Amino acid sequence: MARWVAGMATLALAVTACGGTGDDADSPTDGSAKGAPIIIGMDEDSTGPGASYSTIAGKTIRLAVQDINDKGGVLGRPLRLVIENDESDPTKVPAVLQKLHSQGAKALFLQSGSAAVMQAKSTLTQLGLPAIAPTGVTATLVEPPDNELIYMLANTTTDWAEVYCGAFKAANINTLGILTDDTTTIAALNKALLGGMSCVKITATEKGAANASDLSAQVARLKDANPDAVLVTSVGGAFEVLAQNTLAAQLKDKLRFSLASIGNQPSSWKLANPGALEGLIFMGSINQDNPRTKALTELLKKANGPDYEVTAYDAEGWDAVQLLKLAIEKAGGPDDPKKLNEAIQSISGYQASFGQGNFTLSFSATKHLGADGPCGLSLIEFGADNRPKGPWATFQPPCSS
Amino acid sequence: MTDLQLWLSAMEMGCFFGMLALAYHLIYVGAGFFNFAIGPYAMMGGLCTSWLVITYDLGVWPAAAIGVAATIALAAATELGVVRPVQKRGGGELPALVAVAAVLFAIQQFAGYLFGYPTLPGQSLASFAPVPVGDITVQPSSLLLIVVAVLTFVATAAWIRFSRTGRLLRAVGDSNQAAALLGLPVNRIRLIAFVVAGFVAALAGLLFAPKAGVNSLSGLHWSLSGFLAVVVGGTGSVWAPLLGGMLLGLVEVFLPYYFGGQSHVYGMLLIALLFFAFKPQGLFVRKVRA
Amino acid sequence: MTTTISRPTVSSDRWDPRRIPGGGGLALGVAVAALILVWVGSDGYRQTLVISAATYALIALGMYVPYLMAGSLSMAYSAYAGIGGYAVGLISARTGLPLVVAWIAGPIVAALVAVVLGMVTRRLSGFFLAAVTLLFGMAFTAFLIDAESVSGGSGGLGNLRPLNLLGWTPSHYHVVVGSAVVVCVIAFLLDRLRLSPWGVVVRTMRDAPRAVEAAGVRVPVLNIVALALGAMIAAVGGGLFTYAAGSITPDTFTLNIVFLAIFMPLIGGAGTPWGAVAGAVIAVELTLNFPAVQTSGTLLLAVGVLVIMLVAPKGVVGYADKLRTRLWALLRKERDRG
Repeated sequence: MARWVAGMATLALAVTACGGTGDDADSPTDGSAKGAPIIIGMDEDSTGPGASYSTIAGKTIRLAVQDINDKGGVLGRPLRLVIENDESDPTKVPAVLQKLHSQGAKALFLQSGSAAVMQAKSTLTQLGLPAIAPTGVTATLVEPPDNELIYMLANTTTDWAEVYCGAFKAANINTLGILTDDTTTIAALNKALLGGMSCVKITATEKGAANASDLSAQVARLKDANPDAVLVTSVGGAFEVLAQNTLAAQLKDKLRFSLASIGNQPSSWKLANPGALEGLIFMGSINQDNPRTKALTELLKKANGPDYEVTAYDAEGWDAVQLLKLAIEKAGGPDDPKKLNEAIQSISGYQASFGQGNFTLSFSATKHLGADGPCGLSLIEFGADNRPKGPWATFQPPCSS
Repeated sequence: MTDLQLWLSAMEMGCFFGMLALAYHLIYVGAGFFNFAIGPYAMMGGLCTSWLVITYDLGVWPAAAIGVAATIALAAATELGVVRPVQKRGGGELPALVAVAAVLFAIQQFAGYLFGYPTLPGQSLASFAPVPVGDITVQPSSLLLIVVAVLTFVATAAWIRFSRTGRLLRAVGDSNQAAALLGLPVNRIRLIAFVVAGFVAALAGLLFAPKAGVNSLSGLHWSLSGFLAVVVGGTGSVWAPLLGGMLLGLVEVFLPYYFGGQSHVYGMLLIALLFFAFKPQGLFVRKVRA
Repeated sequence: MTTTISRPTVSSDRWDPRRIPGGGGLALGVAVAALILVWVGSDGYRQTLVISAATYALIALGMYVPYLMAGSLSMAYSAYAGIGGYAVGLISARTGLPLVVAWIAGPIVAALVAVVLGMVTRRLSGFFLAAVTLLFGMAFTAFLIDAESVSGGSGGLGNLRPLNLLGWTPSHYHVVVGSAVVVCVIAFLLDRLRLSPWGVVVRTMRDAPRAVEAAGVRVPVLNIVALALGAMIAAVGGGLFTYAAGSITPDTFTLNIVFLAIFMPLIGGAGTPWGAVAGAVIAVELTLNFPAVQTSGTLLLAVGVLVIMLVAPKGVVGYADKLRTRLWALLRKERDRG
């Protein structure tokens, strides 16, 4: 008996150990860059609840680092990634960041659940390390307290509210029903987003558990409230698809809107019933009219196979690395964290690889959110095959800001 | 309460919870304790199948067969490898409870490691078109879940009532020691209880997965729902778990409908407190034996 | 601070720490803690590891009281640690009181909640209690998200004031040393408690509640006292983590921690509170500081728990103790022969 157990344990250990070494093979090499490596830390949730989205950007961040190293590195020095996993567990975040710091990281990428990133802010201040949260969209991440060192790229919910309002006006929508999940990420997002949408009357707000297996009650309540349109706010994944499946079955003729997550998670499109996503309009950022998006798409298809669906997460991860490269070059080296932080704040007019063609990112001491104006966003409509069909004809955010 | 769609949803949830509760019930009858790893078994059945279909392009039926077989093996391993040695050491129900919590945790972690952490879409075994009923349409996977759940209950009831093993199961469950003294094959019967429970749980997970997908962490929640269902229903009859599941399904659907939002989280806690405190024996009690 | 720690280890021949009940465990625990503190030095990462280990240890010690002493498995400890953490956050953000008050208010509130929950669930045990307390933990998180005016909603509370003890502001290292001291003191006191008459009654209650009841002891009261005590210890841990990390959110203490906290005493050894501490150190080492298996430290931990439960039910401390007894017997034999 004991021997059997010991055997099982050894087997498990062996399997686990293989997994550990397997991951190392993914990490980028120094490429053609010589000189002392510049160490960049990445807190990536690769096994926890945030793994489904943080690994998408994490993969592209690795690719971007490899690309930079192949082209000669930063100031002639290669970038080297050190990666730790916090499993989106806020109690692990301080230790993970400290570990990255003790491995010599000069700047960090935070690729984790938003509760974990929230927890990270105070540790960043303790460490004095600048950090970029490439895929963050919660405005509170870059607001006080402890926001001196943290940066985000994409448009936040404030801009989203503006875009939705434009869309509602164009489609003559006066009342709105909300279907939302119960995660902390979304609770914070709702507060910011819905607070900024004074253009419609919100007649019903229904909440379901993020791991809900049924939302028909919530949708039935929305049906009773009878709004002109429904907006689903969720971190995406199973909840979003269940919501769309249920809405498609019970509220067929209402216009449906969603946040960005459904568009960024191609794997969850398969979860939807046939045709259930048709007509759904989501807040996209990938616009093939943008030449840099096109270039990135080709690169990613070459790396990941021709069927690869490029998402905003990919583009944001890619741009985060490019921005850091720019900042290190501006600061003349990575070693003075204060100078590096100021260098990030001096970046202005960076042409992003997401959003519309002339969308740029700029930072300053008071602007820790890169997006300049709402045209980093684009309203995209799903087709009958449960795949994004293209820009929504009725309304697109104007690019002037 | 006139919305047909809500009743359909409640029935789906009820059938799923009922099957989980049946798995609890079988192990409770056979081994005298609540196996909290039922939820992870169901997760395993659903997740393993989906993973095989997506990763290896396997057909749905062979993948489902492998998924169910893996889950049965897991259930048998739980009994042989963990529960039996721990219970043999004695010390009341606490060591067994902790052991089962460890199994639950380990299965979740292992499944995440093997199959990945993102939610995978459930694979539907049914391929016919959605069926219109009144003004709603019933998805094929929903119909299959309900039909199979009812068949499972019928088959289990018949098995317990008419087969020798089934009758032995009840005899053994009343008192493992007394049964052993009488020379009944206690260990074999207990193992059968675990295997059948594993099969029922895997089936439940497999059939329910198409509704909202399945991921490695679905198990804990399912475990709690199934446990509540078996407590509400009671252990008095094979049909009691189905009743408990249905009641819980109604709560899960109609509580949010009338009170909105997170009310079902508070509602579940309230139901647990009320039932555990005032009617821990459930609605159906076996009256013949104490 | 460091001198007070190492004092008991430099025991003279006349003063034998082994003669005090629980003294041996304390000496060993303090010696290991001192070693760890030396290893930590000024390395920020290692300091954080110690804080995490201390937090896990305090939650595990909190669960130890009702779970291994009284035999009731309450799983609401994520909520109790959360209360301790929110006490620090709320007192810092909403009041002008000295921050130390949080470590008094938090544990008291946690104890009150534990008493109320304990009263409501007093007829439950085993599986029923585990299920209800798990649901309570989930409902508590839902409440923290909903009660935005109290808890700051999903964003949580941050930007804490530094601790100020009569004009002295401890540095981060002082906090690390302090947390190690607190863990040692609590583990020692629990060890004493375990060997005290009360502890013996409580443990008997676990094994034979009827006998204890017949002896005139009110079992439910004892049970509730154990639950309250446990909740207080976990709240201290929650407060410590929140202070060291600088913020708290509704998701800071998850159900994952509760599971880890059940397993820690098993890994370390359930016979003594020091086992819970040892388990916490091992858990932190495996999940946070184990390079080869960084992607699946938790899996390794889960498998480890199963193996330990089957092969070495007394855990690491129990194993070490057996080894020590054998070694001593061997040495004595050698001496006798000589």
